[in-house]
Amino acid sequence: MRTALRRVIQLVVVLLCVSFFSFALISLFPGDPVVAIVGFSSAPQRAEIRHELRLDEPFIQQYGHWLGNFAKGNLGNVYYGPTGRGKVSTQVGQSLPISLQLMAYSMIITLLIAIPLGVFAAYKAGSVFDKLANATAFGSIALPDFALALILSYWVGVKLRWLPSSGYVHPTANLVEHLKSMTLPALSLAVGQIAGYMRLLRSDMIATLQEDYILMAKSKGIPTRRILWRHAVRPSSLTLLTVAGLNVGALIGGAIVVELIFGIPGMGRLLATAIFTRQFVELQSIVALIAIGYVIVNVIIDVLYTVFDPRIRDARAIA
Amino acid sequence: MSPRRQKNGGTRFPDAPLDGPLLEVDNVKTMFKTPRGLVHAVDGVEFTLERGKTIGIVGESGCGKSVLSRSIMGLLPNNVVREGSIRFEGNEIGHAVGEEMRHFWGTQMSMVFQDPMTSLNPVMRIGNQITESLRYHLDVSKDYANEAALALLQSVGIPEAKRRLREYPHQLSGGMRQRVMIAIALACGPKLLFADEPTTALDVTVQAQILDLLQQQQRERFMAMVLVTHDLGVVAGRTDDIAVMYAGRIVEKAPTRLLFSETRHPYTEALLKSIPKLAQPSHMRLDAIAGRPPDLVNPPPGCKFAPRCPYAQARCLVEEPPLDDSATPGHAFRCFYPVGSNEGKDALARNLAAGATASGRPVFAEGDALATGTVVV
Amino acid sequence: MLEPSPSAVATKEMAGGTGGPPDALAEAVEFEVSRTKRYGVSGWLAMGWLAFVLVCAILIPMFMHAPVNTGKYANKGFLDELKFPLGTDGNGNNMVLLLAKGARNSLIVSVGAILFGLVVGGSLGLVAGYFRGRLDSILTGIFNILLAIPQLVLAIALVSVLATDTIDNKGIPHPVSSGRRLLILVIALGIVSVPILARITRANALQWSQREFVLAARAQGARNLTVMVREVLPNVLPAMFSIALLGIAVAMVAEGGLSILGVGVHFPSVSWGNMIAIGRADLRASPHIVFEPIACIFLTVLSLNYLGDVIRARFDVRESVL
Repeated sequence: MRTALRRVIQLVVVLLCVSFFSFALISLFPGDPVVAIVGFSSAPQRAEIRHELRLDEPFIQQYGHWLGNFAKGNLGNVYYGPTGRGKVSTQVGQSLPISLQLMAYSMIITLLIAIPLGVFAAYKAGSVFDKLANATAFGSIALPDFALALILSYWVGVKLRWLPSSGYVHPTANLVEHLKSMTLPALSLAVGQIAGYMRLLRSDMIATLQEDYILMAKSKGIPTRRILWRHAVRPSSLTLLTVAGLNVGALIGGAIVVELIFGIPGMGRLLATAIFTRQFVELQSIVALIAIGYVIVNVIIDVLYTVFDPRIRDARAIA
Repeated sequence: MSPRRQKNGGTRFPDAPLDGPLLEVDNVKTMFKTPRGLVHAVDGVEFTLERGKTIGIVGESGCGKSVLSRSIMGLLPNNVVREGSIRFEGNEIGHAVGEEMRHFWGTQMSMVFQDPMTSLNPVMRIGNQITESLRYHLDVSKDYANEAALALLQSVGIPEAKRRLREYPHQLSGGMRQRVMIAIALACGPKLLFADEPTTALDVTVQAQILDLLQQQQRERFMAMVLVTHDLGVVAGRTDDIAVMYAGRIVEKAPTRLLFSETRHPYTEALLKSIPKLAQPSHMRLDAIAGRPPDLVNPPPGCKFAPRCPYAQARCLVEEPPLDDSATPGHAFRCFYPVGSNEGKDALARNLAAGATASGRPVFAEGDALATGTVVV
Repeated sequence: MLEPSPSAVATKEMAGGTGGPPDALAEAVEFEVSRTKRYGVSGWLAMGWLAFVLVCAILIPMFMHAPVNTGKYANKGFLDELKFPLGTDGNGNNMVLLLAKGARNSLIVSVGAILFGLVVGGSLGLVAGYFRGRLDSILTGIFNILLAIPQLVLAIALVSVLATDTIDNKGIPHPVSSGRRLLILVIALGIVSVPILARITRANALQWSQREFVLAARAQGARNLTVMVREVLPNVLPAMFSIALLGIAVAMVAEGGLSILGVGVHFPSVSWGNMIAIGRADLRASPHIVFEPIACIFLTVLSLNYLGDVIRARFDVRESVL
């Protein structure tokens, strides 16, 4: 119970630091942010917006105000010229689910392909299959996701015309078309991840397969398939889990770029638009949102650890 | 997903003779392919084990005793060459590979490993580790398997067995874990149990308990057992026969009592000297065996123990003694100058007089303050 | 997340099981491991490619000039004409020249960023690992907060803040000059790489600072700076170097991502990333404009990753500190 409390406090501190950092970072903006945001405007208009953004207050108060709004779900405004206003939260509400869909699909593809490949490569370590899989994986890691996205969109989308090379269909509008529109983007993100996970699982699995308890399981006379999946995969997937947490960072970055290539209206496009139109309030909120999401994912993974390894559960209970 | 069900318990060889020996090992050789060459880990071993009997296999680490028990079970990795004949209930299993052997594992023969800390899966509940072979081999329901696991845990002397079924290995002490390992090995009622150094990794205080448990289970179930150990003290009084191994070969084999009373091989004698005895004063020096076991890639010609043997003569260095039966039935050994015989006494006297054995190793009579080589009592 | 997970410890314990394979087997395994890894054919190929890129990036822009009548040669494909073996872009620029110029800027950005990261992150990590205590805790905390933001997002935020066009009161934007933009990219990607390089350095410095020869040097009264630079740093360098090679690859890819987002290298400067970003608009008609820089990035990243791995294997750099 005390550990749980300590961890919650720790998490809150990290979240505060990260949000402060995101806020402060964008506030480093050189020049007058109001001018940057609204462009051509009159002096009274600028004064009004300056007051609205509390830029006339001390920095810490600005942050406190921003954080309070942020916690309430008010992510600030987008400014269309000196008078037009839009809500960042509305835009995020539209874009975020799409990005989450994309990341979820690529994660599913990744796990479905990487885990069996890694297990089999480890089981057949040193075989032709293993060497081939390893070499392919090494190559795939060197291919950036945007490069793969362009190759796929040209080859599969433009040349072969099998799948749309750009655009997004909402799942409620047409599920089949939705999945079609997401296939290439998800695949572009997945390939590099598959390679990484496969190599990792393979090397951990090779170590696990030399453990005494695997020999013990073998001596019980249970089938190899069961030994691999029931006895070896779980203890081998701990590193994988840690890296999965870190990889979500790469996945987010990849998704931003890949979305732009395939014309998917997700967070990537929102971010690009915010940069292009110098919406620094929006930029602040998006960066903070992504950073907080990333921290929370890693906390979830930390909790998952205890599910995977009972020894850690007890070690933590004692600590 | 339910595992593929197969019924193998004892039904594979309905015509298996019930009167013949359970296990006959004949000229078994096991070699590991390594970049340095073939390692002759087991080099022509033979012995016979009757139903319900126990044999102790004793030797220093690296003598091939663990490899031998794994060879018999067929539990070795792929870079291994196995030769010779292994007959289980009269059926040849020496050339069986993976899939064929799986039907024997668990139901016909099983193994208790050395280190209970590393031999239990750390992320599986103890109950599941016991029931999985029951469910797979005997095709029983989940409830039945759980009942059986509970009974097994109780029979190996685990208190609060019901709670333990839901626990993970790290929640148990070393001795308890070894009891769990024994329960797993016994789950499908094997006819032959290999215990590979079952007490080496345990506290001295629990070693005897585990050995007693093994002995009790072996008797109750009329199960044959191969007890592998480096410690003659462990097998004394607990086995019917003992085979002493050195450099992949059996160098002496005898009924247990006889081996201690009529030791013939100098290596067995040296092993006996390394056991602490209660009668000895507590500060008494134990004799470690000087020198190292030979290189198993290029073993020396002649007797493999000759370089370390205080009895060694010129003949020992060039000619390997065969494993011959002695006058006493059931007692065989590999030595030209056996301990306790006239030849042996003469050989030792000659070496002491010369101050060195034929291999050049210095020997001293006990009491010599400068003794650094092999000390002879 | 701010403290090392106990799971890492548990994993290590699990891997170091005592009751290993039978003795003969153990011997075989040991022998296999003790064989030292050499660069091999692939290693030399990787080094060859990197050297080739470097030479092209320096020499080709010095001796080759853009054609005078660019419109006449526009949009030639791959191997269409012997004069332009790699084709031309929409403006009739020779792809060979563009790729060489792109190589130059891509290398300036990625190598520059990692050098920045090595100097800043390396020294911070060295100091944190050597002195430990409160300083270490504070620095580690800062690195962890930087690491809590996905790398590319952090880079985007930094570049978009630092390299934003200034707008005067009349609403007229004044773009950042391309040279300044390059510098900002180096600094932004450098800052992103700082926590990673600092962590690696710190972990290694922590280990080496406890070794006898370092303790001996300190006991003899050597100055901390001297001990750090003379005793600890040389031992930490291989680890830093192998991670730096991987880091250059990551930075090069990141520059590509930034370019596609429109915050990378800008016209009139050329980088592989912004060639891809610009060529993307005309992917249908002239795919070679996109795929040639992609091939360059791929081969360069592949070579850097491979060499990084080889060095890591040779110096036994622990992956766990990643």
